[in-house]
Amino acid sequence: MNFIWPIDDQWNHCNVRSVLQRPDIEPYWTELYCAINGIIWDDLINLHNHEYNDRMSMSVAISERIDNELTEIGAEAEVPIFSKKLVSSRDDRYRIWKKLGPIAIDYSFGHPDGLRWKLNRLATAIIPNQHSMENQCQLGVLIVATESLRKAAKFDAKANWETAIEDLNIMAAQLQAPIFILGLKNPETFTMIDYGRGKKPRSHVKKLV
Amino acid sequence: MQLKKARKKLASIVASLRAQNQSESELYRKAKHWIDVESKSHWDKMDLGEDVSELVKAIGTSAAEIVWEYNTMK
Repeated sequence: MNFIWPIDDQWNHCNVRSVLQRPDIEPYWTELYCAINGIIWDDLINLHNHEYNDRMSMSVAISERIDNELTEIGAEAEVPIFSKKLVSSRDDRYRIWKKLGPIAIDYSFGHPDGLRWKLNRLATAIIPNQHSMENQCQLGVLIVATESLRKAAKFDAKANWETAIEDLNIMAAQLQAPIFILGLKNPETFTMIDYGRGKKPRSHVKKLV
Repeated sequence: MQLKKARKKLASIVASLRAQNQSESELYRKAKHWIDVESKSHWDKMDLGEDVSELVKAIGTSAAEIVWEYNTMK
């Protein structure tokens, strides 16, 4: 699974490019880089076609696979940012989806408002806060699909890499933390057929020869 | 064991064994093999339109056995 790399000057937010090379970050970043790159599209296509073909899009197959890959390399799940007990005891607002060493990781394949909230939450996991922090991170990574992949994999919501980069630029003054937007590329090796609501199977991913 | 849950559980077992420097162990090999091979072994039969419900149960049971082995190892 390829992603947009290297980081261009225009989206080198808070100098994230050099933060990724810091000795305390680089080993974890290398693991993350290899884990994402190690995901094979044929595997994802098969996972969708055999386990999730009742769904319109490939988002569940992709997110499950990324989740499991990150788990395999030792990322912790649903880690609280703050040590302070928040208003509700079952509150999951300020939790990091995955934490790999000093790297806070999240993904956004849904609504753009969710994407903006996740950018804010990643920044919250990094920036010192008046509340004591249980798991302060040094870097945030938000995994999103590029517009080309979003269309090919038929994600119905509009969150994409292009929007995320624009939001990061617009909110640069608020999001004062190094955040890397990891944009998953369209491999252009498949086409997805949506048979329509109520149909079984709902969809099928066809490999292009 | 449901396959989706099993995939996640075995991924966490693999991570845990790696953290304990046990990536050469038999249990690690079994867990990796289950993730990479066994958990997908019913897909070819599905493509042929065969009923795979019993096979899926067996794959789930195999995952549960690995989880049990991991739990009793501690």
